[in-house]
Amino acid sequence: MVCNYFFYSIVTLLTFQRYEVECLCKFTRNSIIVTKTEIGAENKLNYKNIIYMSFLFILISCSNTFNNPLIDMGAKIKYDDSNPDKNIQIASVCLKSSRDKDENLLNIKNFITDIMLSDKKTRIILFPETALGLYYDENSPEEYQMSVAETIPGNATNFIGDLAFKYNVYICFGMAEINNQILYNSQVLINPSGNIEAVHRKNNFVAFDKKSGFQSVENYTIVTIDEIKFGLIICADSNSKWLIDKYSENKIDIVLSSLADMSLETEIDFLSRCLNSWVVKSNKTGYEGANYYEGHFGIYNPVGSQVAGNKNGKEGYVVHNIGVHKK
Amino acid sequence: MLFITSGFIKNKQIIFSIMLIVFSLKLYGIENDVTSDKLSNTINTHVSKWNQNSNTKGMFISNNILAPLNFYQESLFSFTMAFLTNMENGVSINLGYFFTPYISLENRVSIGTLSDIFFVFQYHCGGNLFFINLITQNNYLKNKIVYKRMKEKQSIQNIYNYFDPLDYGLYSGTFLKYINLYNYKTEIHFFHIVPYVTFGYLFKIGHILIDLRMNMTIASCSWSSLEHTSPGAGLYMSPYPELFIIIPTLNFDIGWKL
Repeated sequence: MVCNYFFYSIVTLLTFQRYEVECLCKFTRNSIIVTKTEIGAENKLNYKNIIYMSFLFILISCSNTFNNPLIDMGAKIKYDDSNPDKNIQIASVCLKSSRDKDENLLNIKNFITDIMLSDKKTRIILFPETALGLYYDENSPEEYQMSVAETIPGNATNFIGDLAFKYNVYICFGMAEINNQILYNSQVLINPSGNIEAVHRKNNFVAFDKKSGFQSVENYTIVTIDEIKFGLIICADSNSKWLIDKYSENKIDIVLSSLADMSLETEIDFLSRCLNSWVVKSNKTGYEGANYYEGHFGIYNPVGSQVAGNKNGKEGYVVHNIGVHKK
Repeated sequence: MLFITSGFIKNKQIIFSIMLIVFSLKLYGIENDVTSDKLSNTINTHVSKWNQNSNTKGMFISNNILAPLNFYQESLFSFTMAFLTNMENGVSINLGYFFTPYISLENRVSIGTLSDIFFVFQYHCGGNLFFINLITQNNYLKNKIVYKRMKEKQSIQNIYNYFDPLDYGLYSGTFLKYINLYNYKTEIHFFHIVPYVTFGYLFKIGHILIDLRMNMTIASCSWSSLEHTSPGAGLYMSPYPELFIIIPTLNFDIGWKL
């Protein structure tokens, strides 16, 4: 937190040219405060700015964006899933969210329809964290989340449940949940019958979650679909040692990770290397107020190499038939 | 050239003065060459004596002092410490040997854990070449420097001191590191072989060595003990390739010359 404010104060003091500041935004998970209006008009990239930028990179490290490079280092290791014990086809969606919940639900519906019409064998579709609205509203974070939050089950889960039933598919998405006037950052898995299969609540918070008024709950959620063990994770949960321990102990095969991730994409996924299981990541893209989402998402094999994915920053989806070797 | 242009200049005294200066400089140069040869011989004698009774040859032991701080999975430490420790973590010990005044061989071992998930073992092996000592051992380069210094009118003693053989200074080298990253939750190993080049400066205060080094990794060959996997290889020039493709790492060693 302190570092973020320090970061903010430096950025406002300096007059970086626009592209530099936008670049910096992309490196941070918590670089809330850099807005377009604060960006200066100076167009020189001089030595002074380079020194300041180097200094900022060190500060940015405080935002929990980077993992220890020893974990995700090295060359991509090849993984052969051509003769697996089990197969499952999973789609991961990169979504641009708006403030309006109905608009987001319509967008989700369009993606589900597109995916199921083009890849009918798809068994699970994964959407990002807080897919029904913005992840963080800088003007009134808590009020905004209260306004889009719903109970589980509720209208949104019923709406998506109908689609799950119609297309005979599991749908997993993140949403703001309200339960007894307490806000949770939750991830819901709806089964092909249209019912709630599982609800996972975010454990490990970053500053945005706290500002939005979410309550953290120490919980882990394991679901078995087609004899394959799935673990649910919401974004920064992947940095929770407790959760990683639980999923390691239970030898899960695939992680469904819903993200609202502003950090840069890594070539090798560190979560895959921690759990040695498949990781499916769905992320947001574009600007949500001042926050910029890279839009990287994809599917990573148990040694951390990406087998399907996209990082062009546009909305879209990838579908991959995952071959699981039983542990 | 001077004679040709002299026709166009009225005051011939100026031309005469210039010619005199040029002639004097030439004489000075010849004298210098002779002197530098004499000095070189003196220095060669000194160096060969020193080679016989050298205290620069021999073993040294050192430690990457920041490596114990590189234990965290994420946050401030992961970014800065991995960068400042050449990605070594935990307990580290380096053993080396100076074969000649300008060539050293070094072995580096480090053992540590990361966030209670990974156990990391690293072994680095390579050699460094010390530039200044390389110069003092090379007659051609040495004579060139002597000539230059005499032109700068430095005293014989200064030049003599300059060639007093050193076992420190700027150096560059090549290393190969082997990393075994063991995930003890899933009991899976990840192995890497990474070549890298070094560029640094070694200070010596008595028997104490202080080594500041920049390391540039080049590529990586990686494999895993997980079933259904096969090795991969590729360029690997940065601990944070998502940030910049090329980022060198640093390390600070403190050691003891035996």
